[in-house]
Amino acid sequence: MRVNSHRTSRNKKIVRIAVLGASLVVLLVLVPMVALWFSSLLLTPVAKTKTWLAESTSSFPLFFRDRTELINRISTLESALAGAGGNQFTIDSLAQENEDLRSLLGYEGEERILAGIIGRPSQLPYDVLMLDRGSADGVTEGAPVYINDSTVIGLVRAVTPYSSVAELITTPGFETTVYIIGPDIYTTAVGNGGGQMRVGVPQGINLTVGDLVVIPSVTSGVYGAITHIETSPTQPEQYGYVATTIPLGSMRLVSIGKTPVQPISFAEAQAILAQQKERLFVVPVPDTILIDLEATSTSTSTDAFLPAASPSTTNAI
Amino acid sequence: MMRIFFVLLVGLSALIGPDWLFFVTAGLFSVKYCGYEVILIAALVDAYFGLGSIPYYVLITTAGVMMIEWLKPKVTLYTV
Repeated sequence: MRVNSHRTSRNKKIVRIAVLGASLVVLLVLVPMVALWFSSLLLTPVAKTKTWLAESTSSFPLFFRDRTELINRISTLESALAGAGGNQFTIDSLAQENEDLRSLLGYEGEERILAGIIGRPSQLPYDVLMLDRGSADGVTEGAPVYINDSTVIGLVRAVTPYSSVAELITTPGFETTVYIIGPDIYTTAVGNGGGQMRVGVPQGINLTVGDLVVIPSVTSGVYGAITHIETSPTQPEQYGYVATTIPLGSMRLVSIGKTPVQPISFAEAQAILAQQKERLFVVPVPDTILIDLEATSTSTSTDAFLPAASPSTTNAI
Repeated sequence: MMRIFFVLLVGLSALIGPDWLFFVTAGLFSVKYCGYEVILIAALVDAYFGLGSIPYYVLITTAGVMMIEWLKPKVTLYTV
Protein backbone atom coordinates (compact mmCIF):
# COMPACT_ATOMS: atom_id res chain seq x y z
CA MET A 1 0.00 0.00 0.00
CA ARG A 2 2.83 2.37 0.97
CA VAL A 3 4.77 1.45 -2.19
CA ASN A 4 1.70 2.17 -4.31
CA SER A 5 1.20 5.49 -2.58
CA HIS A 6 4.85 6.42 -3.25
CA ARG A 7 4.55 5.36 -6.87
CA THR A 8 1.39 7.41 -7.39
CA SER A 9 3.00 10.45 -5.83
CA ARG A 10 6.11 9.99 -8.01
CA ASN A 11 3.99 9.64 -11.16
CA LYS A 12 2.06 12.78 -10.24
CA LYS A 13 5.35 14.62 -9.84
CA ILE A 14 6.55 13.49 -13.28
CA VAL A 15 3.25 14.60 -14.81
CA ARG A 16 3.53 17.98 -13.07
CA ILE A 17 7.08 18.43 -14.41
CA ALA A 18 5.91 17.55 -17.93
CA VAL A 19 3.00 19.99 -17.66
CA LEU A 20 5.29 22.76 -16.41
CA GLY A 21 7.80 22.14 -19.23
CA ALA A 22 5.08 22.01 -21.88
CA SER A 23 3.41 25.20 -20.57
CA LEU A 24 6.72 27.05 -20.63
CA VAL A 25 7.47 25.90 -24.17
CA VAL A 26 4.02 27.09 -25.29
CA LEU A 27 4.55 30.39 -23.49
CA LEU A 28 7.96 30.92 -25.08
CA VAL A 29 6.65 30.13 -28.54
CA LEU A 30 3.41 32.13 -28.31
CA VAL A 31 4.52 35.23 -26.43
CA PRO A 32 8.30 35.48 -26.86
CA MET A 33 8.34 39.24 -26.30
CA VAL A 34 6.65 38.99 -22.91
CA ALA A 35 9.04 36.22 -21.90
CA LEU A 36 11.98 38.28 -23.15
CA TRP A 37 10.87 41.32 -21.19
CA PHE A 38 10.40 39.29 -18.01
CA SER A 39 13.70 37.44 -18.33
CA SER A 40 15.58 40.67 -19.10
CA LEU A 41 14.43 42.04 -15.73
CA LEU A 42 16.21 39.18 -13.99
CA LEU A 43 19.14 38.42 -16.28
CA THR A 44 20.37 41.87 -17.33
CA PRO A 45 21.38 43.01 -13.81
CA VAL A 46 23.25 39.74 -13.24
CA ALA A 47 25.12 40.02 -16.56
CA LYS A 48 25.95 43.68 -15.95
CA THR A 49 27.21 42.94 -12.44
CA LYS A 50 29.33 40.08 -13.73
CA THR A 51 30.92 42.27 -16.43
CA TRP A 52 31.45 45.03 -13.90
CA LEU A 53 33.19 42.64 -11.52
CA ALA A 54 35.29 41.13 -14.30
CA GLU A 55 36.25 44.20 -16.29
CA SER A 56 35.57 47.42 -14.38
CA THR A 57 38.41 49.50 -12.97
CA SER A 58 36.39 50.63 -9.93
CA SER A 59 38.01 49.91 -6.59
CA PHE A 60 35.43 47.36 -5.40
CA PRO A 61 35.79 44.88 -8.28
CA LEU A 62 39.51 45.53 -8.40
CA PHE A 63 39.70 44.40 -4.81
CA PHE A 64 38.31 41.03 -5.78
CA ARG A 65 40.43 40.47 -8.82
CA ASP A 66 43.78 38.81 -8.85
CA ARG A 67 46.48 41.44 -8.43
CA THR A 68 49.06 39.60 -10.50
CA GLU A 69 46.63 39.22 -13.35
CA LEU A 70 45.99 42.96 -13.28
CA ILE A 71 49.68 43.82 -13.21
CA ASN A 72 50.30 41.55 -16.20
CA ARG A 73 47.39 43.10 -18.02
CA ILE A 74 48.63 46.62 -17.31
CA SER A 75 52.09 45.82 -18.67
CA THR A 76 50.58 44.22 -21.79
CA LEU A 77 48.35 47.24 -22.35
CA GLU A 78 51.23 49.63 -21.73
CA SER A 79 53.37 47.94 -24.34
CA ALA A 80 50.44 47.89 -26.78
CA LEU A 81 49.81 51.56 -26.07
CA ALA A 82 53.45 52.43 -26.61
CA GLY A 83 53.36 50.69 -29.97
CA ALA A 84 50.09 52.26 -30.99
CA GLY A 85 50.83 55.75 -29.70
CA GLY A 86 53.30 56.51 -32.45
CA ASN A 87 50.76 55.67 -35.12
CA GLN A 88 47.81 57.42 -33.51
CA PHE A 89 48.51 60.80 -35.08
CA THR A 90 48.82 59.25 -38.53
CA ILE A 91 45.62 57.26 -38.02
CA ASP A 92 43.72 60.33 -36.84
CA SER A 93 44.86 62.46 -39.73
CA LEU A 94 44.12 59.72 -42.27
CA ALA A 95 40.67 59.15 -40.73
CA GLN A 96 39.97 62.87 -40.93
CA GLU A 97 41.13 62.99 -44.53
CA ASN A 98 38.97 59.95 -45.32
CA GLU A 99 35.94 61.67 -43.78
CA ASP A 100 36.64 64.83 -45.80
CA LEU A 101 36.92 62.89 -49.04
CA ARG A 102 33.76 60.95 -48.28
CA SER A 103 31.84 64.11 -47.53
CA LEU A 104 33.08 65.55 -50.84
CA LEU A 105 31.53 62.52 -52.53
CA GLY A 106 28.23 63.10 -50.77
CA TYR A 107 28.63 60.42 -48.12
CA GLU A 108 27.07 61.65 -44.92
CA GLY A 109 28.12 58.78 -42.69
CA GLU A 110 25.99 56.58 -40.52
CA GLU A 111 25.16 57.40 -36.98
CA ARG A 112 26.04 54.59 -34.60
CA ILE A 113 25.52 53.72 -30.98
CA LEU A 114 28.48 52.59 -28.93
CA ALA A 115 27.67 49.53 -26.83
CA GLY A 116 29.61 47.45 -24.36
CA ILE A 117 29.59 43.66 -24.55
CA ILE A 118 28.23 42.20 -21.34
CA GLY A 119 28.03 38.61 -22.50
CA ARG A 120 29.76 36.71 -25.27
CA PRO A 121 29.52 33.16 -26.67
CA SER A 122 31.95 31.41 -24.40
CA GLN A 123 30.05 32.72 -21.35
CA LEU A 124 26.50 32.47 -22.67
CA PRO A 125 24.39 29.43 -23.41
CA TYR A 126 23.73 30.57 -26.99
CA ASP A 127 26.08 31.90 -29.69
CA VAL A 128 24.99 35.52 -29.23
CA LEU A 129 26.34 38.81 -27.91
CA MET A 130 24.62 40.52 -25.00
CA LEU A 131 24.95 44.31 -25.25
CA ASP A 132 24.41 47.00 -22.63
CA ARG A 133 22.35 49.30 -24.86
CA GLY A 134 18.64 48.86 -25.52
CA SER A 135 15.62 50.58 -26.99
CA ALA A 136 16.03 53.46 -24.52
CA ASP A 137 19.32 54.28 -26.30
CA GLY A 138 17.81 53.98 -29.78
CA VAL A 139 18.73 50.40 -30.60
CA THR A 140 16.30 48.78 -33.03
CA GLU A 141 15.74 45.20 -34.05
CA GLY A 142 17.58 44.24 -37.24
CA ALA A 143 20.28 46.89 -36.81
CA PRO A 144 23.79 45.79 -37.82
CA VAL A 145 26.51 45.38 -35.19
CA TYR A 146 30.06 46.44 -36.11
CA ILE A 147 33.40 45.74 -34.46
CA ASN A 148 35.24 48.57 -36.11
CA ASP A 149 34.50 51.10 -38.78
CA SER A 150 33.41 48.60 -41.36
CA THR A 151 33.17 45.01 -40.16
CA VAL A 152 29.64 43.77 -39.53
CA ILE A 153 29.60 40.86 -37.13
CA GLY A 154 25.88 40.39 -36.57
CA LEU A 155 22.39 41.76 -36.23
CA VAL A 156 20.35 42.89 -33.26
CA ARG A 157 17.67 40.26 -32.79
CA ALA A 158 16.03 41.18 -29.49
CA VAL A 159 15.80 44.51 -27.74
CA THR A 160 14.77 45.32 -24.19
CA PRO A 161 14.81 48.84 -22.74
CA TYR A 162 18.35 48.63 -21.36
CA SER A 163 19.98 45.73 -23.14
CA SER A 164 19.89 43.89 -26.42
CA VAL A 165 20.91 40.56 -27.90
CA ALA A 166 22.81 40.38 -31.18
CA GLU A 167 22.85 37.25 -33.29
CA LEU A 168 26.28 36.73 -34.78
CA ILE A 169 26.94 36.01 -38.43
CA THR A 170 28.86 33.05 -37.08
CA THR A 171 25.91 31.62 -35.14
CA PRO A 172 25.48 27.98 -36.27
CA GLY A 173 23.16 27.83 -39.27
CA PHE A 174 23.21 31.58 -40.00
CA GLU A 175 23.59 31.99 -43.77
CA THR A 176 25.32 34.93 -45.41
CA THR A 177 26.08 35.63 -49.05
CA VAL A 178 29.77 36.41 -49.31
CA TYR A 179 32.23 37.30 -52.03
CA ILE A 180 35.74 35.86 -51.84
CA ILE A 181 38.44 38.04 -53.30
CA GLY A 182 41.05 35.80 -54.87
CA PRO A 183 39.02 33.16 -56.65
CA ASP A 184 36.45 36.00 -57.17
CA ILE A 185 33.34 34.01 -56.43
CA TYR A 186 30.03 34.53 -54.68
CA THR A 187 29.11 31.81 -52.26
CA THR A 188 27.07 31.19 -49.13
CA ALA A 189 28.86 31.17 -45.82
CA VAL A 190 27.26 29.27 -42.97
CA GLY A 191 27.87 30.11 -39.33
CA ASN A 192 29.94 27.55 -37.52
CA GLY A 193 29.87 28.94 -33.98
CA GLY A 194 32.76 30.21 -31.92
CA GLY A 195 33.35 33.24 -34.13
CA GLN A 196 33.91 31.28 -37.32
CA MET A 197 31.93 30.71 -40.47
CA ARG A 198 32.43 28.16 -43.19
CA VAL A 199 32.28 28.43 -46.97
CA GLY A 200 31.84 25.29 -49.02
CA VAL A 201 32.93 25.35 -52.66
CA PRO A 202 33.63 22.65 -55.24
CA GLN A 203 37.13 21.27 -55.66
CA GLY A 204 39.02 23.08 -58.38
CA ILE A 205 38.25 26.54 -57.11
CA ASN A 206 41.50 27.98 -55.89
CA LEU A 207 40.82 28.86 -52.25
CA THR A 208 43.85 30.11 -50.37
CA VAL A 209 44.48 30.95 -46.74
CA GLY A 210 44.35 34.71 -46.44
CA ASP A 211 41.76 35.29 -49.20
CA LEU A 212 39.65 38.24 -48.12
CA VAL A 213 35.93 37.71 -47.59
CA VAL A 214 33.46 40.53 -48.21
CA ILE A 215 29.78 40.67 -47.27
CA PRO A 216 28.27 42.55 -50.19
CA SER A 217 24.83 43.05 -48.65
CA VAL A 218 26.08 45.69 -46.25
CA THR A 219 27.96 48.78 -47.25
CA SER A 220 30.88 47.84 -45.08
CA GLY A 221 34.31 46.55 -45.90
CA VAL A 222 35.99 43.23 -45.60
CA TYR A 223 34.54 40.82 -43.03
CA GLY A 224 37.66 38.72 -42.52
CA ALA A 225 39.94 36.27 -44.20
CA ILE A 226 40.07 32.56 -44.81
CA THR A 227 42.13 31.16 -41.97
CA HIS A 228 41.99 27.46 -42.67
CA ILE A 229 41.08 25.21 -45.59
CA GLU A 230 39.75 21.70 -45.24
CA THR A 231 40.16 19.74 -48.42
CA SER A 232 40.45 16.12 -49.38
CA PRO A 233 41.08 14.92 -52.97
CA THR A 234 38.47 12.20 -52.55
CA GLN A 235 35.71 14.65 -51.67
CA PRO A 236 33.89 16.73 -54.28
CA GLU A 237 33.90 19.85 -52.10
CA GLN A 238 36.34 21.82 -49.99
CA TYR A 239 35.69 24.08 -47.03
CA GLY A 240 37.24 27.35 -46.03
CA TYR A 241 36.93 28.72 -42.50
CA VAL A 242 36.53 32.46 -42.14
CA ALA A 243 37.27 34.49 -39.04
CA THR A 244 37.44 38.16 -38.24
CA THR A 245 40.75 39.84 -37.50
CA ILE A 246 39.68 40.52 -33.91
CA PRO A 247 38.81 37.39 -31.90
CA LEU A 248 35.44 37.39 -30.14
CA GLY A 249 37.04 36.91 -26.75
CA SER A 250 38.99 40.16 -26.96
CA MET A 251 36.11 42.38 -28.05
CA ARG A 252 34.96 44.87 -25.43
CA LEU A 253 32.97 47.40 -27.41
CA VAL A 254 30.89 47.32 -30.57
CA SER A 255 28.92 49.93 -32.47
CA ILE A 256 25.32 49.47 -33.51
CA GLY A 257 23.91 51.03 -36.68
CA LYS A 258 20.76 53.07 -36.26
CA THR A 259 19.06 51.79 -39.39
CA PRO A 260 18.18 48.10 -39.79
CA VAL A 261 19.75 46.17 -42.66
CA GLN A 262 17.47 46.06 -45.70
CA PRO A 263 17.47 43.27 -48.29
CA ILE A 264 19.23 44.35 -51.47
CA SER A 265 19.27 43.14 -55.06
CA PHE A 266 22.19 41.43 -56.76
CA ALA A 267 22.90 44.55 -58.85
CA GLU A 268 23.12 46.67 -55.71
CA ALA A 269 25.37 44.07 -54.06
CA GLN A 270 27.66 44.15 -57.11
CA ALA A 271 27.85 47.91 -57.00
CA ILE A 272 28.78 47.83 -53.30
CA LEU A 273 31.34 45.12 -53.97
CA ALA A 274 32.92 47.05 -56.83
CA GLN A 275 33.19 50.07 -54.54
CA GLN A 276 34.78 47.99 -51.78
CA LYS A 277 37.28 46.39 -54.16
CA GLU A 278 38.17 49.77 -55.56
CA ARG A 279 38.67 51.13 -52.06
CA LEU A 280 40.86 48.16 -51.18
CA PHE A 281 43.08 47.84 -54.20
CA VAL A 282 43.01 51.00 -56.26
CA VAL A 283 45.31 53.83 -55.28
CA PRO A 284 44.93 57.19 -57.03
CA VAL A 285 48.40 57.37 -58.64
CA PRO A 286 49.18 60.68 -60.41
CA ASP A 287 49.17 60.51 -64.23
CA THR A 288 52.78 61.63 -64.36
CA ILE A 289 53.95 58.62 -62.37
CA LEU A 290 51.54 55.90 -63.52
CA ILE A 291 52.76 53.75 -66.40
CA ASP A 292 49.75 52.19 -68.03
CA LEU A 293 48.38 51.34 -71.46
CA GLU A 294 45.64 53.88 -70.95
CA ALA A 295 47.62 56.90 -69.88
CA THR A 296 44.59 58.95 -69.00
CA SER A 297 43.02 56.42 -66.68
CA THR A 298 44.08 56.23 -63.06
CA SER A 299 41.89 53.39 -61.96
CA THR A 300 40.74 50.08 -63.31
CA SER A 301 37.09 49.13 -63.41
CA THR A 302 36.57 46.28 -61.00
CA ASP A 303 33.33 45.20 -62.64
CA ALA A 304 35.36 43.17 -65.09
CA PHE A 305 36.34 40.81 -62.27
CA LEU A 306 32.82 40.06 -61.20
CA PRO A 307 31.35 36.74 -62.28
CA ALA A 308 27.95 36.23 -63.88
CA ALA A 309 24.89 36.97 -61.78
CA SER A 310 23.64 34.27 -59.48
CA PRO A 311 19.89 33.92 -58.87
CA SER A 312 20.26 34.03 -55.09
CA THR A 313 20.38 37.71 -54.35
CA THR A 314 19.83 38.07 -50.67
CA ASN A 315 20.26 35.83 -47.72
CA ALA A 316 19.98 36.13 -43.98
CA ILE A 317 22.13 39.24 -44.36
CA MET B 1 17.25 28.32 2.83
CA MET B 2 19.57 25.71 1.38
CA ARG B 3 17.19 25.27 -1.52
CA ILE B 4 17.22 29.01 -2.33
CA PHE B 5 21.01 29.06 -2.27
CA PHE B 6 21.10 26.04 -4.57
CA VAL B 7 18.63 27.70 -6.97
CA LEU B 8 20.82 30.81 -7.11
CA LEU B 9 23.83 28.62 -7.83
CA VAL B 10 22.03 26.86 -10.69
CA GLY B 11 20.85 30.24 -12.03
CA LEU B 12 24.36 31.68 -12.00
CA SER B 13 25.82 28.61 -13.64
CA ALA B 14 23.17 28.91 -16.39
CA LEU B 15 23.99 32.53 -17.04
CA ILE B 16 27.72 32.81 -16.61
CA GLY B 17 29.05 29.29 -16.73
CA PRO B 18 29.49 26.85 -19.59
CA ASP B 19 26.59 24.57 -20.60
CA TRP B 20 27.98 21.50 -18.87
CA LEU B 21 28.17 23.31 -15.53
CA PHE B 22 24.50 24.24 -15.75
CA PHE B 23 23.50 20.68 -16.56
CA VAL B 24 25.63 19.28 -13.70
CA THR B 25 24.26 21.72 -11.09
CA ALA B 26 20.74 21.31 -12.45
CA GLY B 27 21.11 17.54 -12.27
CA LEU B 28 22.35 17.65 -8.69
CA PHE B 29 19.52 19.99 -7.73
CA SER B 30 16.97 17.68 -9.31
CA VAL B 31 18.38 14.71 -7.44
CA LYS B 32 18.28 16.53 -4.10
CA TYR B 33 14.96 18.31 -4.62
CA CYS B 34 12.39 18.30 -7.40
CA GLY B 35 13.57 20.30 -10.42
CA TYR B 36 10.71 22.76 -10.97
CA GLU B 37 12.97 25.77 -10.40
CA VAL B 38 15.55 24.39 -12.80
CA ILE B 39 12.97 24.28 -15.59
CA LEU B 40 12.01 27.88 -14.83
CA ILE B 41 15.68 28.94 -15.04
CA ALA B 42 16.01 27.14 -18.37
CA ALA B 43 12.92 29.01 -19.60
CA LEU B 44 14.48 32.36 -18.61
CA VAL B 45 17.64 31.50 -20.53
CA ASP B 46 15.65 30.44 -23.60
CA ALA B 47 13.46 33.55 -23.41
CA TYR B 48 16.44 35.88 -23.36
CA PHE B 49 19.01 34.21 -25.58
CA GLY B 50 16.89 31.86 -27.67
CA LEU B 51 15.66 34.69 -29.94
CA GLY B 52 12.32 33.00 -30.59
CA SER B 53 13.80 29.73 -31.79
CA ILE B 54 12.90 26.30 -30.38
CA PRO B 55 13.44 26.44 -26.58
CA TYR B 56 16.09 23.74 -26.43
CA TYR B 57 17.06 24.44 -22.84
CA VAL B 58 13.52 23.92 -21.53
CA LEU B 59 13.06 20.77 -23.57
CA ILE B 60 16.37 19.22 -22.53
CA THR B 61 16.00 20.26 -18.90
CA THR B 62 12.41 19.01 -18.64
CA ALA B 63 13.40 15.67 -20.13
CA GLY B 64 16.37 15.44 -17.77
CA VAL B 65 14.36 16.33 -14.68
CA MET B 66 11.65 13.82 -15.62
CA MET B 67 14.25 11.13 -16.13
CA ILE B 68 15.89 11.86 -12.78
CA GLU B 69 12.50 11.78 -11.06
CA TRP B 70 11.73 8.45 -12.71
CA LEU B 71 15.13 7.01 -11.79
CA LYS B 72 15.09 8.18 -8.17
CA PRO B 73 13.13 5.23 -6.66
CA LYS B 74 15.10 2.77 -8.78
CA VAL B 75 18.49 3.87 -7.50
CA THR B 76 17.49 4.63 -3.91
CA LEU B 77 18.59 1.83 -1.60
CA TYR B 78 16.51 2.69 1.44
CA THR B 79 13.07 4.23 1.45
CA VAL B 80 11.38 5.69 4.49
